[in-house]
Amino acid sequence: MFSREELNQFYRYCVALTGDEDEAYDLLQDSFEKFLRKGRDVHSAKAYFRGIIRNHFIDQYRKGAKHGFTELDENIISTNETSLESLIANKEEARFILNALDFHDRELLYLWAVEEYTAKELADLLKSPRGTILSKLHRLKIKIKQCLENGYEKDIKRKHQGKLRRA
Amino acid sequence: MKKTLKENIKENYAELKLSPEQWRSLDSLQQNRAGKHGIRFFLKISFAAMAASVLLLSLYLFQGSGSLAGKIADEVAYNHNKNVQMEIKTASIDEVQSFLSKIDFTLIHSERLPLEQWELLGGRSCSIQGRLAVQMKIQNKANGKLKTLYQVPYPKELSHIKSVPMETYASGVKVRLWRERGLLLGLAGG
Repeated sequence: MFSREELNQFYRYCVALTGDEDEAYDLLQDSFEKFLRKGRDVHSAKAYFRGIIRNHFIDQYRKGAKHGFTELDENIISTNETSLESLIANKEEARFILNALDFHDRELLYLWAVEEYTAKELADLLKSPRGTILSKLHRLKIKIKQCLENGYEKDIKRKHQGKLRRA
Repeated sequence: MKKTLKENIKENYAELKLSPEQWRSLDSLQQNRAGKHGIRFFLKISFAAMAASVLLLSLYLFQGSGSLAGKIADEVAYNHNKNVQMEIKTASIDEVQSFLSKIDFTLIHSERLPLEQWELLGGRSCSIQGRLAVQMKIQNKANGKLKTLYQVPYPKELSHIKSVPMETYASGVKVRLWRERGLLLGLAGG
């Protein structure tokens, strides 16, 4: 039995995957029904349920492809897992980044920032070698920086121009 | 002081919560499932425990070659298969008792073998596990089937055999053992 806070935590994970609150609730509800149907005691219910959510979400992708997959560049030189710590961004910028990222990156960012998983834990959870996870974190850092330097400024300007035109 | 991206991402997600309706809906799902699962789980466990108990008890009582009950069952089946002549042919249990004067216990009419259904043909003395015992031939009045009924003072070592019969097969013969009025009774025959 999950507490309200635990279900909220899973809901946030669903938002990280889907990028949309309504879709997140649908994903959570479907996965929860699936989890309860299993009707068995598992060693780690939270980890097990998280796995169901992730697999269910990826299945939906493969069937209908609401969202796109990103090709991973494994040749990027890996870095240490704390390199993302140095990034500075305000709340608006953080929201912009979350909207701009695809689900792979958003999930990684969520697990790293909110759940505070280490690279080793991420590797276990996402079933990837630790080196690959470090590469992904490094790649994510570059993407976020580019997002902030180019995309966010352009987005602000676009919104500002839109307001001027309406005025 | 400007916050880090990590802190802002955390705050952003912390604001996300299930609405009260969404929470209630999910919680009712798990409450319903927990009730059903609890009953199913209890039934499964109970059934498994019962099956395991019966199996272990049967193994303990009969299958272990070293167990006294198993040895008695083997001996009862062996005597039954030998089909030796009765020392006294009579339909009266009192006459069997009188004839076998060395017997130091009182033979009984078993409640499980009512006189209306079973007829006594005769009896003889024997020994079961070194104890003086009596074997009697009985016949089912309805179908004519013959069985051998053994009676012996209840061995203290067999405290686990109660009034409800324990059944096994020894040398191809069905053997039932039970306790009745201070005696151990064994019934052999198909």
